[in-house]
Amino acid sequence: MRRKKIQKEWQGYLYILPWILGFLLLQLYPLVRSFAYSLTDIKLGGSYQFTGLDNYIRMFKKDADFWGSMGVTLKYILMVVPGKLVFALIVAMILNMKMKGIRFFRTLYYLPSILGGSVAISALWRVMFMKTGIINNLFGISVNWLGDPKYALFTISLIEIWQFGSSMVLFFAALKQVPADLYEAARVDGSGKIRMFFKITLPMISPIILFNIIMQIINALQNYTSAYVVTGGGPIKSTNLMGLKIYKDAFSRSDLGYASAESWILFLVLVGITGIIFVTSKYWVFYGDDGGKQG
Amino acid sequence: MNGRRLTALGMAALLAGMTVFAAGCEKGSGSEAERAELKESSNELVKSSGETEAADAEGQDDITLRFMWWGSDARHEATLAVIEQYEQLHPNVKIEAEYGGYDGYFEKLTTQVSGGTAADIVQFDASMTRDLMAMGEVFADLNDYSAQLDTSDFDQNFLKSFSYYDGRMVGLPTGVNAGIWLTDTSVLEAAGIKLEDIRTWDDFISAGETIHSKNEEQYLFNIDITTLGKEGVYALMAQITGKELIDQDTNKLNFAEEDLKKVFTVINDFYDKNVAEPAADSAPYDTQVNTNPKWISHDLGCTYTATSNVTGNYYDFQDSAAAMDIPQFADAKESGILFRPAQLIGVAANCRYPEEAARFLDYFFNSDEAAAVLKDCRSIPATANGRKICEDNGYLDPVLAEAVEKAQESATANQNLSVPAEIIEILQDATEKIAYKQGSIDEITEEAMGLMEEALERIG
Repeated sequence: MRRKKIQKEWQGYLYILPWILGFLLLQLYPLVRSFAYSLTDIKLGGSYQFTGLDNYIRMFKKDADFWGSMGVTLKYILMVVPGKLVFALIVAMILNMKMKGIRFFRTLYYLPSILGGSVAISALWRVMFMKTGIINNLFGISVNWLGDPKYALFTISLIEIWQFGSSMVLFFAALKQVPADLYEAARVDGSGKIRMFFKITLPMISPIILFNIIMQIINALQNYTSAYVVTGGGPIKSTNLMGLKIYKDAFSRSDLGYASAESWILFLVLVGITGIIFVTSKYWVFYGDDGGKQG
Repeated sequence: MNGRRLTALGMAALLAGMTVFAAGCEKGSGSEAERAELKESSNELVKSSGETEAADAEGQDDITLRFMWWGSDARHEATLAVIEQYEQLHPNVKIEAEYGGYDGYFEKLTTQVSGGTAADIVQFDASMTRDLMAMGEVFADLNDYSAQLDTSDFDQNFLKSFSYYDGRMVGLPTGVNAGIWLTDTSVLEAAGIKLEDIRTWDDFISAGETIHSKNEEQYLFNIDITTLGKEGVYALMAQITGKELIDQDTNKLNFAEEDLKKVFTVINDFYDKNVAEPAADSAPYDTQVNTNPKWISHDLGCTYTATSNVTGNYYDFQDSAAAMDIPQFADAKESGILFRPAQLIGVAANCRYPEEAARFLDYFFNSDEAAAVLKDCRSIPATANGRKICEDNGYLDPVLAEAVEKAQESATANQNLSVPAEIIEILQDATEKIAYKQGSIDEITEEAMGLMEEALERIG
């Protein structure tokens, strides 16, 4: 019996071995190595010396751009995450209605997420948002979307918000799960649609809202492509997201050690934000089976 | 355990093994038969990695070389055509082209070099030489392949100045590159300004003011922050100090705060006095000023760029085009004009077939057929024969030829080829702050000086 059990476990491990090896070699090892690098002055291809916390001290004390980029990144998250989720939820609710040809529209609205934040799409947005581009022409305005520091970050955010498909699908699935009898009971009690949305729909899908918020924050914190292609971080660093700054430090300046240190701080910020959201989630996420503690 | 499951497990183990070892394996260690089988099943893959060692019918090795460059469509098409010519002449040689734009090229190259995956034949900029060679012995010494590659047709002084690093010939110049103040004289004339009237920066600025005051849609100077903050600052500073930006021996700045303030004051005037289009409007065309709609509609008077950039449809005012003399300070110590190789092409030190790569370069630089196809896609050819073929056939843009000639006569000896990327960024950031009016000149100058001094001390 025992031998059979060991053999069974052994089989299981063998099946997941490729993933485990991939994780160890391609994820855990670079992660640990990057922390080691963050304590050195390593350049691309060059030799290096242990410099202790020098990179971290430089980041906090001497590199004004680091704080600038951190600020830009947080602003970006504040625009992208709520914008994307509200938009995704509205579209999901519309697509949840019963009407003709709805399946076609469901596919259609997911398309942007398939096209995604690729270089080609970013390049397209760049042309669309130029002063002489289609957006200004369409609305008959003359906004300097890319050249004015006031609007550039917003323009970049729109690309991310536009890819609302995956959040939408999750919301859509969650909306389908809300028991219809809750709405019926509310209707019998004389509730209006808005009241039903805030008192039934939102609490019932709150676990998915939590999941979406966390996933989107992780996504947004790592964004790089759109800022690199559309604005290159400018004008006057108004779109210099942390992802882009790390890339430039690592590959334009060959300053790998410093870029590694920045990555680790970004990682800690990500852990911090996610932690805060998790801790506060008990006040607003309703899991149906725990009686709910919504405020 | 039944047989099917065993097979499945065996496959899983095999897959796992392959995942781990595939990446690290440079050469198969199996028997000849196994190798032949591998070759058959993944012929393309093996070919592309340049490891095919089977002899062809004529007893010559099948050779695959990778050639990487950046450029515009015109350059891509011409280079691909030359590769095709060479492959037809040498059926056993396959040259894989890896090309794209300049954006991100240096980053890609340094990453490839540090990972040991750089192409066999690499186009690079003269300003990259120091950074690349600091990563190790990146390029082969082309002098070692003089049997295959004849360099006698190049201007030997030009080679001495730009092709060597630590006594090794690391690359050959693709063309002679000069700074050009490409001017649409019709824009100037419409405002009653003659090209020859612009001699000093004061002249330039007042001409810009006049043009914009006569037509609010028009500006004299079509320039981007990236170029102005780098080549623009280099030229202005060379005129003031007559030196390189950074002293190579002491690794300290070769100018005082006052000098930088003088440079920044000129840049500030460009934007403050409407000599250049507002930075916010020109920002989307950074490094691609020729795509600015105002340039296309002839509402911008001139631009400053390198002749190597002026290819294809860069401008369409051939009838009214001229190369303006670089404006200078009244007491300028030198012209500050850019004059250096358009690019260099080198052979990677770890290339498996350096002789063949050298033979290809010999064809690329010395054959009449290649010169006739390449024309001036990498600025004016650096070989006497290449230039003659272009001249005889009328391939050269006369305005570019004029700019190169002017630069040859009065170019600065201080080409700032070894300025660290971080210093360039600081200068470009400061230029952008001036353009966007993010502080006074004094503040921006002081901050830039502090940042550069700190960076130089750290970089060492």
